[in-house]
Amino acid sequence: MKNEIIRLERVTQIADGVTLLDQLNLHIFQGEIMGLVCINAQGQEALIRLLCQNVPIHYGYVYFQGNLVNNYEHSSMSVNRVSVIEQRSRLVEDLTVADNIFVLRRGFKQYLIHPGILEEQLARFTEELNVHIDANELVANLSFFEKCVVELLKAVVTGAKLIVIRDISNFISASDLKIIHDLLRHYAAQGLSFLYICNHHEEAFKICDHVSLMENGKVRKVLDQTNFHDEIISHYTLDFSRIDSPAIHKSGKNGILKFEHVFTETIKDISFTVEKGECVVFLDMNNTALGDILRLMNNEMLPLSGKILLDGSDWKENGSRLKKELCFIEENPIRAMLFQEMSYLDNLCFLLDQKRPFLWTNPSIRKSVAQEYEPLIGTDIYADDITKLTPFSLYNLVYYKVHLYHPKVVLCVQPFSGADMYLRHHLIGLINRLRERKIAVVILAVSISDSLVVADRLMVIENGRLCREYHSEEFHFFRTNQ
Amino acid sequence: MKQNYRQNPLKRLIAARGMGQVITVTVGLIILCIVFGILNPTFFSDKNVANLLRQIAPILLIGIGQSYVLITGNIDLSIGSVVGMSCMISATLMTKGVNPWVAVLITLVCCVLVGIINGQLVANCKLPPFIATLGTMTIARGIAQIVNNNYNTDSIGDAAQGFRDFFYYGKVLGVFNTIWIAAILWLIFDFLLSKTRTGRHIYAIGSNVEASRLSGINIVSTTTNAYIVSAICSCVVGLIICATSGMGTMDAGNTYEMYAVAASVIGGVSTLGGQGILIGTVVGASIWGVLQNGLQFAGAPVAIRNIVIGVIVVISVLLDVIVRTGKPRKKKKKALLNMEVKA
Repeated sequence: MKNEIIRLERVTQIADGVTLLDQLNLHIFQGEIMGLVCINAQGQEALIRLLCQNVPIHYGYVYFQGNLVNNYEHSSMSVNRVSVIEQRSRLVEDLTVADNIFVLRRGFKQYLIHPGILEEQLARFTEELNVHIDANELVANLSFFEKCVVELLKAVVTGAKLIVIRDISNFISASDLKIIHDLLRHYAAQGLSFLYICNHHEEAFKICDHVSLMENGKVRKVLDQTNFHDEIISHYTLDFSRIDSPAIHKSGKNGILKFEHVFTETIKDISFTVEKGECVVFLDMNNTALGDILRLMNNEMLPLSGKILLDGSDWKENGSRLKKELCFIEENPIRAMLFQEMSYLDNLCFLLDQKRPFLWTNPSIRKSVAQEYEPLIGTDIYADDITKLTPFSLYNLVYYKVHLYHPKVVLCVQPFSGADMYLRHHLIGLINRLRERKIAVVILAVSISDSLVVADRLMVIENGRLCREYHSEEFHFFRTNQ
Repeated sequence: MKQNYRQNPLKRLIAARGMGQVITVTVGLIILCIVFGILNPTFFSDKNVANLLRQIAPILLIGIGQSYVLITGNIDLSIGSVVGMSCMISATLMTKGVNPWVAVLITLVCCVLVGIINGQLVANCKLPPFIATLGTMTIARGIAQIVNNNYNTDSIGDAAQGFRDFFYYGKVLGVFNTIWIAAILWLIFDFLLSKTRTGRHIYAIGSNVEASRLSGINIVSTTTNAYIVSAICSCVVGLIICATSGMGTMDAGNTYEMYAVAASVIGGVSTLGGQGILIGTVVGASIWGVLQNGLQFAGAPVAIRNIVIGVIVVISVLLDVIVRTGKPRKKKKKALLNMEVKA
C-alpha cells in the first residue's frame, strides 16, 4: 500500500478578498514526483506556504503523513517537514557547504563543530549521488547548480518528507537540469516525495509521475503518465501558435549588432549578426557564457579578442556613446527595473531624459508622451502609485519604457521567467511591439520557455561556443532534439 | 579501506572567508614594524615591545567585541561608554570600601545588562543598530557621570592593589597580566566563534538572516549573545583603565568605539556582516598600536596619527566592499541570473 505524504482536501484560502486557493485538492504519495503546472500564478505562493506551515485556511483539511494537521476550524501554525528549492536560495553564502547542510538545521545537537567529521558525512552523500562538492567550499563560490544540489542534500539531511522544486529551469541550465532530474529520481526511489512546480507541461512530463494543472487556485485536471500528451493539455492552455512576427529589416552587411570572433574568459570564438527588428534567442546550455555577453554589452568588460559592432561602429572605441543605443530588460523586471516611489508616467519617461535633457523641466513633453501612449497603455498611465497596479500593467510599463526610448537593440534576460501562461502570452505581444519599431531583440536564456514563439533565430551555446543555429523554419529540429 | 576525506586544517584556515585580507594586513604590519624599527632602533627594545603589547591589549579586547557584533551584521557604538561606565562603577564601589572582586562582579553584571538591552533593542524591537546603540551609548555615559555625582573618583586606595596588579601591573612569566588577559579572552572568544554552533549561528545571521530563521536559528538570542560578548570585553577594558590610573575617570573610553571598529575592519571583519576572523582583529589592533607607537617615536603629532589611522580604516572598508561586490569570482561568472544590469 502506498503511503500518503500530504493530502489537501477542498482547501480554500482567501486573502484581501482574493480567493488564492479555491476548493483545492492535492494528493502526494511517498516516492512520488507530482508535477504542478500553473496556468496562472494565482495561489502558487499560498500553496507553497500552506505546505510548509499550517497557516489558517477558510475551508478544507490538510493531512500530513496521514495526520490531520490543519483545518478550517483550527490551524496550529506548526511547521511541516517540507523543504522548498527555488531561485531565492535558502543557504548562508558566507558559510561552507558542510556548515549549511549539517550545522544550520533544526535539531543539530553538537555544540562543538568538527569540520573533519562533517566532511566525511558529506562525502557519503556526494559519493552516493556521484557528484563532487567540496565540503569546505563557501556557498558564495558555488554555481546555481551546485547550490541546488546543496539545498537538496540539506533537505535530505533535515529529514524533509516532501521537497517542493519551484521553477528550477529558470536558473538551471538545460544540461544541469538533466542531472537534477536524475537526483530527484534517485531520492524518489528512496521514498522522498517531490512537488515539481513549473510553467511548462513539456518540462513536467519529462520527470513527473503525475501532473496537476492549476488555474485560479484550483486544480483543474490531474494527468497520469498515460495522458502526457500535448493534445490533452491544449484544452487548458492558450494557443501560442497563431502569433504573427513582424518583418525583419536588413541593415547592411554588419546588421545592427555584430560579434566577430569574440573571446572572453568564458566565451570562445562567438560570431553572429542581428538585424533590425529581428528577435534572436541565445540559449546557453551550461549557463556559462551569457553573463559575459551581458558584461560586454554593459561595458563592464572588454573582449580578450574580437570585435563588437553596433550599427557599424566599433563598440570598443565608442562604447560609452553606443551604450545609449542599447537597453536591458532584466529578469523579473517589475521588481528590478521600476521605481515604486515614482508615478507611472515618470517611470515611463525615465530613460528618455538621456535623449531629451529638459524632460523633467518641461511638462509638455511628458504630456505629449501620455497622449501618445494612452491608447496603448490605457488609463494606468496616469497612476501615481504603481504598487497598486496589476503585473500586466507593470510589464507594459517596462516594455513601453523601452519602446519610448527607442534603442537600436534591447537585451532581455529570461523574459518569460516566473511568468504564468497569460503573462507569457502578453509578453510575446510586447516583444513584438518593440520589433515593430525596428528594435532588435536579443533574448538571453538558460531555458527555452516560450522564446521560440517570438524568435526568428535560435543560437545554442554550449561550453562558451556557438554550436548550433536554427532559423524559425528549422525550430522543429531543435524541438525534436530536446 | 576507510577513505580519508578530511582536508588539511591549514588549507581550511587559508580558505576561510576574510583570510585574504588578514594575510595582506599582516604583511603591512610587518612592513610597518620594519620601517619604524629603521627610523628608530629603540622601537624594538624590550621595554617598548612590552609597552606596545600592553597598549594593544585593550584595543584588541574592544575589537573582539566589535568583531562579534559586526559579524552579525550590526554595530555597537556603546563600547566606549560601557568602558567608561565600567571604569566609574568599579572605582566608585572600591572607593566606598567594597571588596574589589565584588566590585568587579557588580560592574560585570551592569555591563552585561547593557549588552542584553542592546541585543533586545536590535533583534527584538528591530531598531536600527546604529540608533539603538547610539542611545545606549549616551545612557551608559550618563551612568558613568552620575555614579559619582559628576566627579571623577578619588584613588581606589591600597586595598585595591591586588586588583591593580591583576589587571595592569602584575606579571606572569615575565609578561604583563593585561596581555595575558587579552590573550586568554581572545582564545576563548575565538574558540567560541570558530569551533562552536553559536559561532556558526553568528556568522549565519550576519550573512543571510532569512535563511538563518528558516534554519531554526534564534535570531534574538544569537544577536544578544554577540552584544553581551561586546559588553564583557568593554567591561574588562574599563577595569584595566581603572587599574592603570588607580581611579575612575568619567571620560574613560571616549571614542573607543571607533578604535574598535578600526581594529575589526582593518583586520578583515566585514561591515556588511557574515565575514571575519578574530586573528584578523589581532592584526588590526596591532596595526593601530604600532602606528600610534611608531608615529609617536617618529615625532608625529596626534592629529597626523589620527589622519593616518582614519585613512587606513577607509582603505580597509573600501577593500572589503571591492572584494565583496566588485571582484567577480570565477565560478560566479556562471551565474546569469540576479546580475546587476544597468538599464
